[in-house]
Amino acid sequence: MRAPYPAIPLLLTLAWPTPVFAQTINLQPGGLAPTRTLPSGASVSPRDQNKTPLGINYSDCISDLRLTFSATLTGFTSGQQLQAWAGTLDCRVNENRQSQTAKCWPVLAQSIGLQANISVDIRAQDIVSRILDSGPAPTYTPAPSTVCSRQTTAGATNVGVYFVWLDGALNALSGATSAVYNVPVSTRGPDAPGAPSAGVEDTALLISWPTVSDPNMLGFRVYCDPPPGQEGVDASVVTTDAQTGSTDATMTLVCPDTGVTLADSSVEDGASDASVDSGCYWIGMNAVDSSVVGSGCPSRVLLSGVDQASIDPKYICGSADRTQAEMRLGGLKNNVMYTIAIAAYDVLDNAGPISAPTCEMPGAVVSFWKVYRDAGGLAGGCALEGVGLPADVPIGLLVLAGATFGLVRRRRAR
Amino acid sequence: MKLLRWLGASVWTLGLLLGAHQADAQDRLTRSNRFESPQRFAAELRFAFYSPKIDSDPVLGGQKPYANVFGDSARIAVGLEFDWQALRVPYLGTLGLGACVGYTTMSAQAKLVVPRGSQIYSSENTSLDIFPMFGVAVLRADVFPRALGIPFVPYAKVGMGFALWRSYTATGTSMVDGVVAKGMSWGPHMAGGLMLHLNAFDEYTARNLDNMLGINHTYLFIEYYSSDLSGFGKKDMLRVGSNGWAFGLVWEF
Repeated sequence: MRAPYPAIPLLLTLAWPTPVFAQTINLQPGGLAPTRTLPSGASVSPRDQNKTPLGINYSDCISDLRLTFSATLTGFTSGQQLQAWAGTLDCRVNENRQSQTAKCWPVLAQSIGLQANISVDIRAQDIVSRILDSGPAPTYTPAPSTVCSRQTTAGATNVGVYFVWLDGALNALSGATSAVYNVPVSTRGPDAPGAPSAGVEDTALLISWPTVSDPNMLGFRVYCDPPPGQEGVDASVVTTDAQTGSTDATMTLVCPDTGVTLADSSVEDGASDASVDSGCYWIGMNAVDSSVVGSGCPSRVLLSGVDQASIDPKYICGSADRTQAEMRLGGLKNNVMYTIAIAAYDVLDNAGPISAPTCEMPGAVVSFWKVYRDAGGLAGGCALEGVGLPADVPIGLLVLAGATFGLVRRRRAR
Repeated sequence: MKLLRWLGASVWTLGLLLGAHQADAQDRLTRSNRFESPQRFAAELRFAFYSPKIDSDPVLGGQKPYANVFGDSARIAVGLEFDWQALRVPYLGTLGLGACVGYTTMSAQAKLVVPRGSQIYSSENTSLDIFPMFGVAVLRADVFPRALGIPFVPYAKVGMGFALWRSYTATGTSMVDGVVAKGMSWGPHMAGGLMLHLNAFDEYTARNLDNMLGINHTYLFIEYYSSDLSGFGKKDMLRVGSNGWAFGLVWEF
């Protein structure tokens, strides 16, 4: 029997794989972040570094932000596809795109046209659209803006944007190099903090609030009505309508611009809204009655649970980081009733609703010096600078320096 | 100024009378002294019970503004004293000049001018900061541990006390009728105390401390001090001086 030597080259030819070049996609420049633009084409300034500037928050989502990816492609042939997917699992795995437990969804209507250099716009709303869902992804349809409000609990989710090489049967090409861009997504701000309390100080209020342990929270904003420096020019304080029937007999409405000063009963008896709203504010000894817009505080703006986005930023009178539970609001006017509320924002700068408000009036205090002088004390009036010693001289350091000098000198002498 | 000159002259006169010589010329009363490094200085870390005598001012007519605001309890004043042990008096101890700077503060919630119903106090503190200082002549009779092996050193300090003070609230330095709540007070200062020589309890460590840092002796001390910062009875001086007990550590080097 003859050995089948002539068949060997043929068999090798049939069995040897056809040489191919692996498909690659390289995000440009150097795999860095995509540019961020609005539908109008205007570019979006990144947020502060501590506010996850490359993430997607509610504001990004509702404004229909686009992420523009630039990339270079190599090694592709006809019959192959490059598709863009988003997902909370690895979208290069077929099961994560196709199974009943899939966590990936398409973010483009069709495959990306294959050419050496590509530029792809992906909508933030499409990236956000199915974060909460699982199962086989439906065919792509542009997500509506309502997806920005779907998130029901605070906290960020890491979503991957995948550029996946697929074959004709929509299975991932083995050996192909896909690109992944991870983006943190959160479209819901922290819950409203507990109501603050306000301590009375001279031309100031000491605001304190319950601590919050949410790790996604970045800080608090403090809202004041009237805003400091705008007492008497703010029209949001509750006026005649809300005061009707109140029992705050000691409250007085002051209108500096018109020279009108009205006791509460007069206001209730019919001062016109127009005159009251145009530059007046309340002073008095008690907060207004609880019938006022449900909070007992004379503000029409700072209402419990109101979304921060609906409040004019002029009412922001302070900010605090997440570890703080207290802050002093200075520069206020004594005997003016201020309504105070706080709200939290998260690491993506999503603003949560404001807390229940509290209201308080700063008031003059009796210092030790006042007590001493009123008792007949005669000391004082001598500035430290006047005796040649600024108040901030670290005297202790001078003494320590002297001692150190003496010790060094002493040791050198040995 | 005259007083300081007088104190300086007194120290030198006393030294001459007793046949003093420089402190680094070590006495040879005990065997261990032979191995000591020279000794010229002392440093004190002191903690004093401090209760300003503001209410003792006669112009207050018996009213007690300090006690009414801050209460009767003493505060702790922390201080650092540095002494130059200029002279060694044979068979007695060291005589030198010392200076001390300290700090104490007291705060209390300020009352509202117009109470809000049952709310009398505000959230704001009213405070008084005091930097008590003194310059004194110091005599430390270390003959007992040196000559007799008794680990106690009595000492005395006499000189002048000073204090810078400031009263303030959250809005800054207080001011009433244009008078600012800060100033300086001065007056006589004196103290007497007893130091416990710690070297006696661990001579090995003490010797190492001397070799490494040049610290010859370490003491615990307790003293009673009197700082009458009334400007010798001036009416326009805030009497922030205090009498009381102080304790702490002393290092001689």
